[in-house]
Amino acid sequence: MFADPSNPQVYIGFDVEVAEAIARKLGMEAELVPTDWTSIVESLKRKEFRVIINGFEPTSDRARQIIFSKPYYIFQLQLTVRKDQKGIDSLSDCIAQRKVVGTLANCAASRLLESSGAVYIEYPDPVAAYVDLEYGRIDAVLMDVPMEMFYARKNPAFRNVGPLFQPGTYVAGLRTEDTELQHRINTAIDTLLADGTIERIMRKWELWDSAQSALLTGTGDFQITGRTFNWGEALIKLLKAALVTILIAFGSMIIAMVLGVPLAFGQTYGSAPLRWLCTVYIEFFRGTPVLVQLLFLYFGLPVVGIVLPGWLTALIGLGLNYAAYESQIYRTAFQAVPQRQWDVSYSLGMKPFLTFRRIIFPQAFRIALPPMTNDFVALFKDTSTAYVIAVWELATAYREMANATGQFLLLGIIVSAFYLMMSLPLAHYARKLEKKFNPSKGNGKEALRLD
Amino acid sequence: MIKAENLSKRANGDYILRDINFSLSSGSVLGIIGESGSGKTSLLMCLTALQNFDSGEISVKEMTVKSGSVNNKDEYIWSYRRQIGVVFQHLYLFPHLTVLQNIIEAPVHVLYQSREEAAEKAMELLGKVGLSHKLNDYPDNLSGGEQQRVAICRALAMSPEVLLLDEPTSALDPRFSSDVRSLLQEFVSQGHTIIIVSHSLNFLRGFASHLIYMEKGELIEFNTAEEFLTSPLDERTRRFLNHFLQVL
Repeated sequence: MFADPSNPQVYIGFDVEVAEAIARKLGMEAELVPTDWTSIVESLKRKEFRVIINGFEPTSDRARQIIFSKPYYIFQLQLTVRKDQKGIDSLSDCIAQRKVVGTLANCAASRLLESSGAVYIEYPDPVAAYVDLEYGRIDAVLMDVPMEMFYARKNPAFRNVGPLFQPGTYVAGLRTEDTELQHRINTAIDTLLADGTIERIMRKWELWDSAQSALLTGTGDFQITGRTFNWGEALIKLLKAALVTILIAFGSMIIAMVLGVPLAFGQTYGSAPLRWLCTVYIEFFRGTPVLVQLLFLYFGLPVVGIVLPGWLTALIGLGLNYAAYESQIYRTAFQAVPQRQWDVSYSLGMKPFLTFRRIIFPQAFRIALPPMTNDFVALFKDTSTAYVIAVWELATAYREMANATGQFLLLGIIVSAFYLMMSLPLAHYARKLEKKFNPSKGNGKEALRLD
Repeated sequence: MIKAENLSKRANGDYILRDINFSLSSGSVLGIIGESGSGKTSLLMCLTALQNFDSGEISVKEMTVKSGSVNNKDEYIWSYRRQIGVVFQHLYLFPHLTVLQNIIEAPVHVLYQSREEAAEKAMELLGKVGLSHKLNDYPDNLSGGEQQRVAICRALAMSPEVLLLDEPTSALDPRFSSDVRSLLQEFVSQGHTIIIVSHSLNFLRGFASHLIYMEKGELIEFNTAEEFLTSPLDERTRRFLNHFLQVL
C-alpha cells in the first residue's frame, strides 16, 4: 500500500485493491486505516480496525496473538545493492563481508537476516532503507519483491543481485475471536483466485509471476517463520541499545552545553544581525519538533552531500536542538547574577573576561545547574526520537522486540529499569555537583538564593 | 586627593547630576548626604569611573578622567579604577568564595601577588576587624556586620587611594563599629581619603572632616564638617539640618 504520488491523501496499491475486492464479495465497503507498521498487530488487538491487509505475513509469533486468512499472494525476497557496488552477488556475500543490510522491521527478511547472523538494520518503513542504501549508509537492502518493485526497481542507482528466494505468503490478519469473518474472507479469497480477480490486480502491478500458481492449486509448502526469543539474548540486545542511548545522550548534551554559550552571548550582547541570527536559531529549534529536525538532518543533508550515520545524526541533531534550550538557561542564569557583581569586580580592577570567568560564571553556573540537570534527563528520554532514523536505541529496541514477541509488559518493565539505572545516578550526581558548587548551603536542601 | 569639576550626567534628558564641583585633599573623610534620589549613588558611580558622564571631569591624584571616556577597553580607566575601592550598600561579596578567597581574589589576579603574600595581607586586615576565625566561612553564613567588614577588607586589600562607602550604616553591626572605625581611621592617617555616602547624619558626625549636601542632582553645599553643622552657607542645607534635628 502506498500513497498515490499524484494525490498523497489517497492510498493505492495491490493491497488496497485486494481489500476492496474482498469487501465487495462480503457485501461490505473497505475503509482504509493508515497505521504504524511496526505496531500493526497491537493496533489490531486494540480494535483500531478489524482486518490487516498490507503485505502481512503469517509468523509464529503473530500466530500466538491473532489468526490469519488463506494466502492471497506469494512473495519472495530480493536483495538490492548500489549499481557501482562490486563484490556482492548474494546474501551470503553480505554475511561473509560483514556488509550492513537494511530491511523492514519485523518481516520475513528481517528474521532471515537475524537467524543467518548478518549485520542488519531494521527500518520502520521501506523508503528510509532504500534512501540509506542510495546515500551509502548501508550496503544492501533485502525486501519483499512488492516493496522492492515499488520503491527501488525504477531507481537507476540500484541493481538487484541474485535470484528471488525464500517464498512466503501475504494473508489477512484478524483478531482471534473473528473466526466467522476469517471463514468468510477465506471463501472470498478462493472465489477471487478462481475468477482471476487477484491475478488481474497483480498483473496490473506487475507482481504476477509463475510462483503464484501454487495459490491456485492450493499446493506449496510455505515455511512460517518466527522470531526466536530468549531472555539472555534480549538482555544483551537491550544492553547494546542502552549503550547507544548513553552515547547519544552524553554526546548531544556536550554539544548543547558548548554551543549554548555563544548562542546565549550572541543573543544578549551581540550586534543586531548576530542577535537576530541567534534568535532565529533558537526559535527554529524550539519551535519545530525534534522529530522533524532529525528527519531533516538525516534525509535532507545528503542532498547537499553530507551523509552521516544515524547515531551521529541523532547525536548532532539532539545537540543542536538542546543548545537552543541551554542558551536560554544560561541567559536567565547570567541575568540572575546582580549587575553590581560586575561593578564590584570592575572597581577591584578585574577586567570583563576575568570577572566573567572568576566571578559571574561560577555564580551563574550554580543557578543553571538544576535546570540543566532537568534538561539532561529530558534529553535522555528524547533519544527515543532517534527511532525515526533507524537508530537502535533503547526505545526502538523495546518497541521492536515487544512487537515481535508481544512481551510488552515484561520488556517494558526491563526497559524502564534500564532508563532508571541511567537517570537515577545522573540525578544523584547532579545533586552532589549542586552541593559542591553551592558550598555555603551545608545540607544542600535550602533553596538557592539568587542575590 | 580627589576632585570633581563641572561633573554632569543626564538620563532621558533630565540631569541626575548637575555641575558638581569639589576638591578634597588627602587624609580627609568626606560625607555625602542627601535624601534618596538626590544623586548620591550616581555621583559614586561616576567618581569610580564605573559609569560614563556627560560633561566635566574627575581626578584622583594625577589621574584625570574626562566625560565620555569611560570605556572598558581603555587601560587608563582600569588604572584609575584601581585607585578607588568601593563598598556598596548591599556589599556584593562573591557568594561562591570564602572570606579569604573574596579578599585575595583581586590581589592575586589583578596585582599578580602570590597567594601567600595576598593571604598574609588579608589575614592582617581580618585580624584588625576581629574576623580571623571566619577565614574559611562563606558569605552567606556571616552576619550583616561581618559581611560588611569583609567587604571593607576586600576593598582595602587592593591598597586604593580612596575608599568609597555607600550607605554603610544600614549593614553596620554596632558592637564592632569601633573596630571598623579604627581600621578606617588608620587608612586615613596613612594619607588616604574616604568618601561615605549616607542619608544619616549620625554616622557622619564626628567621623567626617568634610560634608556635601546634595538635592535633586545638585551639590548644594561643600564645607568642612564643623562649618557645615554649625553655620551652613546655604538656606537649603539649613532646612535639611533643622528637619534632621527635629526628627532626632
